[in-house]
Amino acid sequence: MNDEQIKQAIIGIINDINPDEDTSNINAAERLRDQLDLDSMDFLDIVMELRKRYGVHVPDTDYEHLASLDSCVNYLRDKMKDKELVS
Amino acid sequence: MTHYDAIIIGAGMSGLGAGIRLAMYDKKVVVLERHYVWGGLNSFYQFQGHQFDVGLHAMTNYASRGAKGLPLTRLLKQLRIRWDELDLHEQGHSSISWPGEKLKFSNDFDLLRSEVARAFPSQTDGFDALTQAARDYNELDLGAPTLNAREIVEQHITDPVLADMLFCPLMYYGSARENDMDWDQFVVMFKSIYFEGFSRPQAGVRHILKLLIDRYRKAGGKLRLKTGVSKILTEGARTVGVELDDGETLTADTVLSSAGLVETRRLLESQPIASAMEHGRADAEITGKLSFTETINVLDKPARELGIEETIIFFNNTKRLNYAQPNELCDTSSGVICMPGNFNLPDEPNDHMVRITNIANFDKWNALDRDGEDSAYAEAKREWYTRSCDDVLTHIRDFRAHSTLTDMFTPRTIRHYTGHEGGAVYGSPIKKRTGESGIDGLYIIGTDQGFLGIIGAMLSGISMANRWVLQRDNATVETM
Repeated sequence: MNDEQIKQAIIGIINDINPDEDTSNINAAERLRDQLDLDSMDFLDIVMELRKRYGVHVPDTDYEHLASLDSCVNYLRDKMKDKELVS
Repeated sequence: MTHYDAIIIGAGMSGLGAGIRLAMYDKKVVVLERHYVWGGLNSFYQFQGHQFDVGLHAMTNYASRGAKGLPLTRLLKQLRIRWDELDLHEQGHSSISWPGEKLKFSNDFDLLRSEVARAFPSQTDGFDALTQAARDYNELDLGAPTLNAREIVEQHITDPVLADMLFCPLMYYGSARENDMDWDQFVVMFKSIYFEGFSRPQAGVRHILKLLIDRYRKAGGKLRLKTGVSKILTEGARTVGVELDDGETLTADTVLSSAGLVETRRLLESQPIASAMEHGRADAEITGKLSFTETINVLDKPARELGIEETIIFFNNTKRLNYAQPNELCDTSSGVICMPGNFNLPDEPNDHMVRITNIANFDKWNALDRDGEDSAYAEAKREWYTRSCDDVLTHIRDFRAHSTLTDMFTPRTIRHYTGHEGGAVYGSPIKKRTGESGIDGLYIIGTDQGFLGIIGAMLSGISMANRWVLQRDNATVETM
């Protein structure tokens, strides 16, 4: 998975969590929390879905790395390089 | 013997909410329900061809589509339910009706504020300050100390009549304490009723229950009806499973119990560790005192055509509100009148109803002989049906001549369907906000965890499943 696909993977998860949310104009550098209706329960779900879909484990102490799309990419690049995007 | 990641006791709103979360993330989970139908406190039945809801008058916590940061939105995200699927329709307006005074409110908070300013002009600033205090309080902070709502409300509202009027809907829709509430529960109810408001699916509670059960089964969860739990099993300090009424044993890493605090402790009675739960507190101390009767009238025409406009009326006939267990079978001097047809429903409902809720005394109803049509129980139902209807007539038009069918349920009915000791609709006055029971692997969800209303109950199951199973699981997994 390349950087763009990692972003798509995260956005795909957010769309499934909240189908009523518009994710078409997310600023990758800005905190997801500031742009979308996401609370700590939703971040748990992003973590759980990453594990379920991609077998990637994000320990509690690393949740901060999921703050923005850019930080997700930086954090997940190594962990997801051999994974295929699930649509 | 079957081993589960989690066993959930009770297929009410909280049990199903927890079950969906765990099944979604591939946990092996079973929900055990003693009754032949799911729903618990919020269930439904048919009687002489009519469809009745038990429990649900209205769903609190209304949120419009896409509204951010509200409990309903949080619930939808957690269960992956689209807003449309709930089929919610808002109330018209409701009222709090006192001798000589009435406050209207709706899902638009400004209506209540203007009504308070009209009827209690000297209290306007205090009301605004109370509103702000509720807005600023984070009711999701599970570690916050327990405070008494009466003391805090009195700091802002100096007129006891207004204080009682504001308390009335919040108490009737959720308080397990007599004449007071925990402040955090007051805030939860204040927001869910006054800020967010009432709505209802066209088909009532069965629509919600069907959604939940479909979601749960699709995620791979298992539901066993007519399956009562007789014991919670422990080994040393840990919960290891349950024993069923027929003697079958199921083991599990975690047990989530929606049975209630005193009821869950009773399931542990034969276990050496049982004393770790609510140590030193007698059963009576942790059993709720508030039970209710509900009087149902099926009308021959819509309530609106009889001149009854409100969706729900919270009423009181005396000087001060007395939200407490009565010495008689019932206290009909205050209560709730619900006209389910007065939500803004797209289709005319099949049945037109007036439902009246009053506080009742479980022990008195339970002591009555129930054998036959002439039994003391049947006689008491007839007497209190009449009194219950008579005592609301200063608040709504007289509907009695239009009543074609009546039914009434009592604290005994509630105990039968919910298993709650004392028919305590809102459970124990003691709430376990973190879910911890005192015994490893056993957690309290639902009414006695303390999130209130239908949305609250589901969020209770969800948040406890997240906290005690999913998060914990994520913390212990080996890095892949």
